[in-house]
Amino acid sequence: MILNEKSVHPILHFDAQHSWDALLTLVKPELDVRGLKRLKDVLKPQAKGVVIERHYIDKDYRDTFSHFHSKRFNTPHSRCVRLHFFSIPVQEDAIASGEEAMAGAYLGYSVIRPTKPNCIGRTLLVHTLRVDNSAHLAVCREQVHLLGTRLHVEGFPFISQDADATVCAESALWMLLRYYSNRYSWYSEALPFQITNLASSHAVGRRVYPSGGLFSWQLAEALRLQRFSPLVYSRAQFPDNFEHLLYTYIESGLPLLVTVPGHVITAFGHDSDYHLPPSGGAAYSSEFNRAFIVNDDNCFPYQALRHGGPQTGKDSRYGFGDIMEFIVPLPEKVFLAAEQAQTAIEAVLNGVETGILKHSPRLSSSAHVRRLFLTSSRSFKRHLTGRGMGNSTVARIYRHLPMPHFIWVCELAEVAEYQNERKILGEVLWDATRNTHEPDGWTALHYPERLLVDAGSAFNRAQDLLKVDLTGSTSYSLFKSNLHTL
Amino acid sequence: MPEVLELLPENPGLATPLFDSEDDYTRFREEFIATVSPELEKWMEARRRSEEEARQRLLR
Repeated sequence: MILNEKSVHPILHFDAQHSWDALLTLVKPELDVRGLKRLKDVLKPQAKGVVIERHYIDKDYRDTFSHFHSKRFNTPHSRCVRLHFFSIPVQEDAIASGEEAMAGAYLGYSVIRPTKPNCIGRTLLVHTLRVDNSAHLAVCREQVHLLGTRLHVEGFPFISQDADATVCAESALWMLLRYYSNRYSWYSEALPFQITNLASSHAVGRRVYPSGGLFSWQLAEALRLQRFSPLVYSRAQFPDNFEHLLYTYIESGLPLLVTVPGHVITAFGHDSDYHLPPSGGAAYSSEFNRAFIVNDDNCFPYQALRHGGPQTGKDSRYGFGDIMEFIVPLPEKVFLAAEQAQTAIEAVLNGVETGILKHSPRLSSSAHVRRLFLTSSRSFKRHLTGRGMGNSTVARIYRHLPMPHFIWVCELAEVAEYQNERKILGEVLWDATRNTHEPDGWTALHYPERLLVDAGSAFNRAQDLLKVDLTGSTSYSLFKSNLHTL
Repeated sequence: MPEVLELLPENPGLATPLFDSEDDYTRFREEFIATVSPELEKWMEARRRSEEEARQRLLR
């Protein structure tokens, strides 16, 4: 059924009378067959209706239009069409009156640009459209205004390259930066052409647009100019822990850029099977990971990039082995990289005076799982009461202990409890602002039987390590705030 | 008195020094640095080479 066909906001119901192909007519000439296929691939199972917002002025397209497309002899239209998808048949009155059922049925939007060969512009769709319920991913929230009503959508931003002003490098950067600016006020919003220009002062001897692509170091430099402290990891240089480190940053809630041969995509989640058998001894939780959740601007949002390559039509065409490099946009106050933090933490966990063997009969009696991630101490403390920390003394000391803005956390768990209940027995907290060679980075080391804490660094003095014996400790929930769990 | 005891005002004797003597503490620091240094050097070199490779990798 098509309602208000000649209006600014026609409504299409996907029913016996009208299929998805009707969109091609209603959104002509902006939407092409290729764009429609990409929309159908992700939305068809759940979308029952769509509101078409004609004459939409999109800030991202208008930016590239002003700086690039308008300079061509034959110029495309300056306006776009925005499609709003719903999981129930849509009624204009119900949206305009702000009915709760309509707000709950909103699946997000996709801007259709008058650009060829890729017409899919700024898009934010709910992640539940495509991601399995075993996935954990970073999401941001946007307000959307439709017919005078404010709607909300939560997901990870997507945009396709226009193949002129932007190619995959700029598109991947846009997705990453839009996530951070949506989520954290510290980062400013960057429009596509601004992103192209971020690397322009380093385009020595090359024109900036039409874009011929970027070298990966230029992506890192663009991130630096946007207030990040980027780190580059090449598979060839980190052959033994490459996927583990990639997982660790994603587990830290840090979406990042992943390069495959000649192309770059954005990774922002993982899909883990916690019943996979761990390798024994002290296994890291990265061993349970079977896929990264990615946005590839050549495809559609929320693809699973699986260990061994694609298994279904929803999967990325790449496998783990295709990933050559990743670039992490670390916050500026994180001086200690993941591999450095892990080296330091393992040194204290295996140390004669500080290690598991000396202080924790329970953890040393069997194989255990470790989960390494970065978080803010603010977020860590916010969940202390809810988690209980297995012992009220630990929760109380943590609550009052001055901590750095960012901390590396290495959780310790018995294998069965971790796999079945996602519960842990303790953790190491390590100051992320520390020098790599300092043993003073230790904030706290929590075993079920004992808490070791640095009371010196907490008060900006020399290290002063204290121990607190614990009785009656229990297991408790692992930290969940970094990623959204379905 | 270490400030951490102020975090536990109801039980000030609960926290005790981890090391029995200054010598034990010094030994811990030396062992820690000796343990981590070779691996940290390896990571620094891997980072340097990764950045070098990033100068050659064109993405479009």
